Amino acid sequence: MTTVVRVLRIPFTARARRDLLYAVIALPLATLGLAAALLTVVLSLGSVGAITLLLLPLFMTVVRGLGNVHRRLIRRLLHQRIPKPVRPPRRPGVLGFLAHHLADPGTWKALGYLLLKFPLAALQTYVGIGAWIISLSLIAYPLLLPIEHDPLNFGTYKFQSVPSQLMVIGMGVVALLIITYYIRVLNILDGWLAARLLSPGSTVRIRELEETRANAINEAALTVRRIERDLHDGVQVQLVALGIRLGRAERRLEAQDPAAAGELLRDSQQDTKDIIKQLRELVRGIHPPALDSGLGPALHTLAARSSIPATARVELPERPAASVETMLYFSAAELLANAGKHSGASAVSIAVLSDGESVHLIVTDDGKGGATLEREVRDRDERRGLDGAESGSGLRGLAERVRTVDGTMDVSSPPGGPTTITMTVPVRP
Amino acid sequence: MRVVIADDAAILRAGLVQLLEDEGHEIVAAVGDGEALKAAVAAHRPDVVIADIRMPPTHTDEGVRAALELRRRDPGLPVLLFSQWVETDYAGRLLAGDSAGIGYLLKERVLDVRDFMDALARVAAGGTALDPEVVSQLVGAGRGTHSGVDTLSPREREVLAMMAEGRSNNAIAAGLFITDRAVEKHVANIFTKLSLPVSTADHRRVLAVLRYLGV
Repeated sequence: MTTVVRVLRIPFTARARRDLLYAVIALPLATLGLAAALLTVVLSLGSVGAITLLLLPLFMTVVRGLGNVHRRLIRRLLHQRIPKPVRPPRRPGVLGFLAHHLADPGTWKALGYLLLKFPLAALQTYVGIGAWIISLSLIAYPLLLPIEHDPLNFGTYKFQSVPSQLMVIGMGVVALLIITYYIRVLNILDGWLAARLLSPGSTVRIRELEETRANAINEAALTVRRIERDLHDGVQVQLVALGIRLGRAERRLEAQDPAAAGELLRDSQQDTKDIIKQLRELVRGIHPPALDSGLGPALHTLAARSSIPATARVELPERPAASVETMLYFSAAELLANAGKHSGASAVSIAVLSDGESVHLIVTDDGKGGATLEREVRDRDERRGLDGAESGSGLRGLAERVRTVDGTMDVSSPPGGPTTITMTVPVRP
Repeated sequence: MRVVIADDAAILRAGLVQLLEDEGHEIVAAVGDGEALKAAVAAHRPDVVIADIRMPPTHTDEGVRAALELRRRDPGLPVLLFSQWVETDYAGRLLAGDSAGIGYLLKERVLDVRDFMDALARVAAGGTALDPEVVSQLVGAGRGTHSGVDTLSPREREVLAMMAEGRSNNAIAAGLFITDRAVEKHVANIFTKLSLPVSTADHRRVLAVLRYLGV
């Protein structure tokens, strides 16, 4: 009996409902997708004129956007996670703009998906939903019969008697089961297609991973070098200096000069406090202790310690992966420091929000704006010339760093400000 | 003594200056890099130079290079080099030429003021002062296995290791809890086993140490 109930319930389980919803949405969305895809194809096949060059990036953006919508829908309704292709940062100039939009393999694959999706969506929505409604009306047949003028018939046989009405209900139940699986199979096929066409392809992905891995390794080496420098030139030197002072105090005691020795000892005490303070700063630079209790406390501490007035707002339903937290914390710290150095801002706001899929770090300042990835590159090169060890910093460095956790970074900084920098990182890398 | 100090960390430089002044030395110049060190030595002709190895601009071996150049111009100029850690390569380069008047100590040796003053005096007088760490690393680096060193008894090796640090017979006797006479006997045995030419005791000492270190 329970088995029968369970089978009867199959068309109404949560999964079946999600499948159904996905099938309902499929066609309207796919129609939009087909239109965008066809226009894009027509434009790119046509002669390359000014209009093409202006419109094509627009349509490509729409195609990419629709790809994103599908990726989200598939994640929400089909519970299938498809990684988002990460696009390399835009290069400067018109050519950079065109290459960024037109030569992105991810977009072309998304276009392929949209083209293939349309026939599939027709099967999902028309056939699927149509058959689903018919099955339901078969089940509701005894209720519908009085309204209908003509009963269902099979040849000359009319389904009018009670047993034959029950038979119709039975057919409806079976049809509903079949339709449920029909829709599910189509959705799985859709998911399979999306996994191939909406995800970063393996070659692209491999190149991406190679690049970001190289960056991560460089970054790590630089960090270790910086820590070594800080320890060597900072704490260790101070400790030796403290030791020298203590040695001098000892010699003064030997020379029966307790007053001088006492003064040296008091100075040594101060030295010790300074060293402890410096060690604390150093540790904060490696891993801020506040980060152990989450991004919220850590960023509030960071904002409170900032040289320009800063506020932090963190709204996260759950804690992201530790690597994501660390990455976002240090990005926020660097963006805050940048705002202090370059922008002339009087206030900075840091916000961390989540949409369940990605975490967004948004840092806004009211400074003079004009920050671009490129200017930062020059900045960085100048700094490198001065210092020899600073590298991988600046906005460009951040953009590269965020790629190592499959994130992206957007810079909006018109001349005159304000500057808003948005980092988007998957919750789970 | 008239001393020139080179260290890029201002706080350490100041500490060294005060320490040496406390001890009655005259600091004729305190500078922050190799080039300034060379200029200061040329200008002041000090009795001894104290220099950090790692200094700007490259933060690698500026001190070693400056020391070698200074001693090329002015052979025998006593130089005591400091480092945060031991680099056998640097030690080898320093000792490869004339090892008289060379010191190579870890920075924390300064903390034992008396030992440091002894080492400084030894270097200034044309002796050597090698950090025990330097000696053990040089020996551990596979040097010193030739030229008769392996024929030495364990005790003789111990004595030789302390000689390499630049210690006097008295200091060695105190360190190993044996009599001065016993040390003298060991030293004589070492000279014989390494078949070092008879000359002044100091010179033979230096040669024995070099043989031991394999430089």
